[in-house]
Amino acid sequence: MNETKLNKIEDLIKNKKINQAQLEISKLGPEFHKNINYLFLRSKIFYMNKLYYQALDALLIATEFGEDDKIYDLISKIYKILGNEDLSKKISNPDTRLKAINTLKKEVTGISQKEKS
Amino acid sequence: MIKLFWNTHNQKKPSSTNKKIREKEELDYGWGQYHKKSSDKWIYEILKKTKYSIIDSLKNIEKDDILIIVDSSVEEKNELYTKLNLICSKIFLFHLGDEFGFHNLFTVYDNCNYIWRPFCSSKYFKNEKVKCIPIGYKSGVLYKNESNRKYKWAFTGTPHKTSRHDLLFQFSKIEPFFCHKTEKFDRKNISVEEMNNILSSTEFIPCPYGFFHPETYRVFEALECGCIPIVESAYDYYDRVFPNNPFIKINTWKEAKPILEGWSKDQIKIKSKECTAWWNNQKNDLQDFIKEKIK
Repeated sequence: MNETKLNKIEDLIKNKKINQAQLEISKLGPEFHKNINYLFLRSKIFYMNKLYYQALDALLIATEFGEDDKIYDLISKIYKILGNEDLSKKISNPDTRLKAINTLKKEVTGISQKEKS
Repeated sequence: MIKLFWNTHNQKKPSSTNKKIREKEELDYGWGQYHKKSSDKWIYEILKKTKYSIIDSLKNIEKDDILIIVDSSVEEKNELYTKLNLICSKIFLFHLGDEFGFHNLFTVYDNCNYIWRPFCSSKYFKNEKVKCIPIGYKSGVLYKNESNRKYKWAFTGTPHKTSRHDLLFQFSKIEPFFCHKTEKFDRKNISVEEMNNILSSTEFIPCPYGFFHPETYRVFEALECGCIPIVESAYDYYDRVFPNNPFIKINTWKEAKPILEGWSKDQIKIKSKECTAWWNNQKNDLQDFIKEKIK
């Protein structure tokens, strides 16, 4: 059921119906907040609205709940847009990404979900 | 008679045995103390043109008094406001805190004649009883009239989100600068005196979003000390709440680099003057508005 809702939002994003996707995702409740596909789609909507920092925050939170290449790829893509080529490359490389993400999360102190769970 | 009562620091002392309730009580108590310490100078400044006497206890309220009450965590105080409404002829609330805006406050707000609050959100834009005001500057912030602004930019705070992390990455080679990273909110290890010296010696203050809400003290502390605030323009927050503001607005911190690196001293001076004049007008208009409302 949850995945069906997310698939519908994914389709809207693919068809560039961003406002509708935003409306649909805003209807989803707290049961989605630790779902990495939900967090990825939220990030994707932020990204398409050029809200890069909001997208990065949601993506880094997603890494707290699981691993998926699409998450790292989007983080890398955004850091390239922001002009942080070095970090972008480290995150796109599967051999260096975990270390780079963990270092980043240590510096960005508001991302960790450990105390809140 | 118009009386002012500051109630933020009179929160119920944490006493519940229920863990969740106690956590909320501790937060409300801590924030109440914080608002009294941080916002008194700002609130008294915007009330400068209004005449009132300060009371230190609700026992000093008499029938038909007009009450100005400065408060926080009002979502827990329905009963108090209902009672005050029975005694006072009018209630004017300055509601501090509430950065998240999650609570339904309308039962409390219904007991008041008018409400001023920082941390604006879309639900208050068209509300005729609620006016969003700047969060203002923290008590103690003071322009030192330094003739030389030796720092190009300065940042003091917690890099809790990626925007702040990117800000520090993008600006790290633009010198001279002052940067003091803190681990947690309100743990500065910098004295107010030192903060005043830094703000008064800096040209640009990057003002990233707060932990949850776009607005931070940083913007108004920058204005108070004659600096130029650079704000994030996501969701057009500042343009929606403060139309025609002269702040520099960016979507990514990379966009601000050519300004910091390329603006001449004259350009900086003109922008700084523009910001200061705008801020003084804002404060003046707000003082007039409050004076007119509280009658």
